[in-house]
Amino acid sequence: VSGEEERPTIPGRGSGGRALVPILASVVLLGAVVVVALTTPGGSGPSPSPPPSSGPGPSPAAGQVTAHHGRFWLGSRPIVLRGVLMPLSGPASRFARVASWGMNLVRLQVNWARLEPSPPTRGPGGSWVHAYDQTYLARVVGAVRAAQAGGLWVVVGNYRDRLTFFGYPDWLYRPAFNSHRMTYPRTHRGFLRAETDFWTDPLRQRLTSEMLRDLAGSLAGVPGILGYEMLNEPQRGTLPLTRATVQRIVDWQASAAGGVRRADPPRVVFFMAINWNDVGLPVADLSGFVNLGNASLDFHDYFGARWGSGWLQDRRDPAYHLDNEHVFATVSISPNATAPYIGSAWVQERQIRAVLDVLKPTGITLMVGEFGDYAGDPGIERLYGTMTSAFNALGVSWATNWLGIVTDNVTATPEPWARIVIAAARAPAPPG
Amino acid sequence: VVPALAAVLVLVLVSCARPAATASRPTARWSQGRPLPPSFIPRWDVTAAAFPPKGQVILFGGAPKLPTETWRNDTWVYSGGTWSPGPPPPPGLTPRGGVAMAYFPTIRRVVLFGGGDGRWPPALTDTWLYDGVSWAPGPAAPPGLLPREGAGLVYDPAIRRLVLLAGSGLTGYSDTWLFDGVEWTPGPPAPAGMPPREFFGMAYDPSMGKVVAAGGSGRTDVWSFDGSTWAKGPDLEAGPLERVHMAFDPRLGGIVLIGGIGPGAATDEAWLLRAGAWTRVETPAEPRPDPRLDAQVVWFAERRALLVVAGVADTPRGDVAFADTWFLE
Repeated sequence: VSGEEERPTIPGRGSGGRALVPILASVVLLGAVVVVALTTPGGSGPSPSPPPSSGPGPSPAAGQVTAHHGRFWLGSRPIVLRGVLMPLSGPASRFARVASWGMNLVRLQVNWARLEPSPPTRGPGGSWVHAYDQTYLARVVGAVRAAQAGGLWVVVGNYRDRLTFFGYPDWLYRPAFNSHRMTYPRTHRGFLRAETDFWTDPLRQRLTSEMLRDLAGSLAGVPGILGYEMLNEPQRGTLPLTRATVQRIVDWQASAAGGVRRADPPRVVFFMAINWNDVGLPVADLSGFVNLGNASLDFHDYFGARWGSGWLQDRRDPAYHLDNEHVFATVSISPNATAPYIGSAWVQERQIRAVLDVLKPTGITLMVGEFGDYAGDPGIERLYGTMTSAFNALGVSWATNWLGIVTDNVTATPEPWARIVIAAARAPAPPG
Repeated sequence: VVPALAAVLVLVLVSCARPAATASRPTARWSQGRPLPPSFIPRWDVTAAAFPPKGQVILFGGAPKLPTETWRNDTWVYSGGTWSPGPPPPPGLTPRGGVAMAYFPTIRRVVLFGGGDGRWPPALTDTWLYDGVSWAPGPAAPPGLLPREGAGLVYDPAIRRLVLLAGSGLTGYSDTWLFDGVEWTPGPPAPAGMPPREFFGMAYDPSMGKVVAAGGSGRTDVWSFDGSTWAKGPDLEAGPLERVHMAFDPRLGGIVLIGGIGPGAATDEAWLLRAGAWTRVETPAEPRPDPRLDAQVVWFAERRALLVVAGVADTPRGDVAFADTWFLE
């Protein structure tokens, strides 16, 4: 789910888990993280480190976490990461609080629209001169440092800002800053057109890559950063759901990740296929990220888990391997949605196994960067329970949607179901 | 002359074989019974079982299809061609869906086990007994019998026990438990390659003398239980159906599996397992029930037909459920 940094809210999803319907300036939130134990070098490896348990005080998140061989690693030891997605704003104390729940990860929502509110200017040799908001950048650095001091590794997320119509800086949608020379109308159709055009827009792609590169460069050396997200829940607009579309989206992210890697070499780069549930992943050629190394696939779990494995089951369907099951596949994460969660832990496991099966030959590490539900869902306890059970059973790292932990105040009393997530965070990691 | 005679002989053999093949294809027809009354809220995860002493079929519980709904603990009774509300749930028989339920002739009770609700972790391991009038608590489950929903439960007359298989709780299960009317005891361990499953078909086939379990695993695997061990096969011809149920039909002489989903859309097909092979049951185009998941299937001896009731439509959100009743006869 896309997000911004104010109060997390979740918009309705398009039916069938296809392209997210842009609810105008809505798009929202959280995300997060991490991983799996598929293969270990040389067979049986060391057991993953469990997340830190609550103690007298938080220990800083020390050391650089990496991703390879299907796992996250802290040095030579596999590590399982469990945490939450959070807005950038909030008191520093929240990180220690999250760590006290047994968590060791936070996925921070960074918004390009706030980082670069003013458009870049032309520089020499066809370059662009960016003017980043240093105050906002300092907030990002401050939040990372506070999280690290509180005991959490940080994924820097590239989330849309719902205070802008398109989610990214408004100036991108003016003729001077896109190759299509378009002023995109602030309508549903304009939004879809902008989403579609991005994939054939060298200028917007370049400006996005430069922002990601510059952000990573600014944060290079700041301790506690696990990695950077290229795009949160990439949208294909009206591009056809084909292998070519999937590949275009994945390859662009790999290209952008190359720039991020050069700017801040030790960090993990995170990518997605299409949308929240990585539509098209089974047909994607991930060699761009395999070659890059130290990469992780982010998967957002909003699977209804009543049957199936999340992937389209019918091999006779032309969209097989390109789409997800359209029936009962998603939970209702919107107050106006209609499907309560009644899924099971076992079907959730089947979904995660399906993703792991795709990733296994690549060695790319899986992170479930988002999962959660609308508070009014009668099955909300069950959702958090079945999902965290599945993740933990498979040794997959995860970050829950902040919305599911508290209400609208990050220091508020956790919702009743937070106990389930906290217990899952404290559960021992499965043996290696 | 010899080749000509041979050719004639071949033609005769072929022409004889064709009618024989047609004759062996199972056929049946659908007819509609009275639906559940409007006070029945269509739902997910309802369970049905026959209660032969009174010629009843009972429905119990279910899960919500809309956020405004919740898990249920109501009982509905089909008798004399009509559905009516059954006895109120006693304290302790809490709202739940996906219970395992089957008639146990030795004690002349319908036995209900477990189920799931909105709470986590799953905690329902209670057993309840229905005597045709009311529900009463049964024996407590032993520690190893973990809470679950979507398990299969069938009476095996050869061993005079109910056989409970699989389901999902903290994770998916493939274990077997036996109930003798007094206590639950562990059954044989699942053989290698027998995956967990939930909301699947399970029925006893007297011609085989075995309990058969099919579907619900995401695979086409079918397993049979001879009272001591599980053995594999024959695989489902219909593909890896899930949310599917089945019952033995003495008229067709085999186990009939109805509906389900995956791969692709939900189906309205019926498949017969007879003499070690699955064959699609031929039925007229009309009338027939809508394709659906979780159609409950019970042999209704009074009508000598399979009674098919409830289930969920194949819609994007899963918010359309059925209250209709059909007979396959």
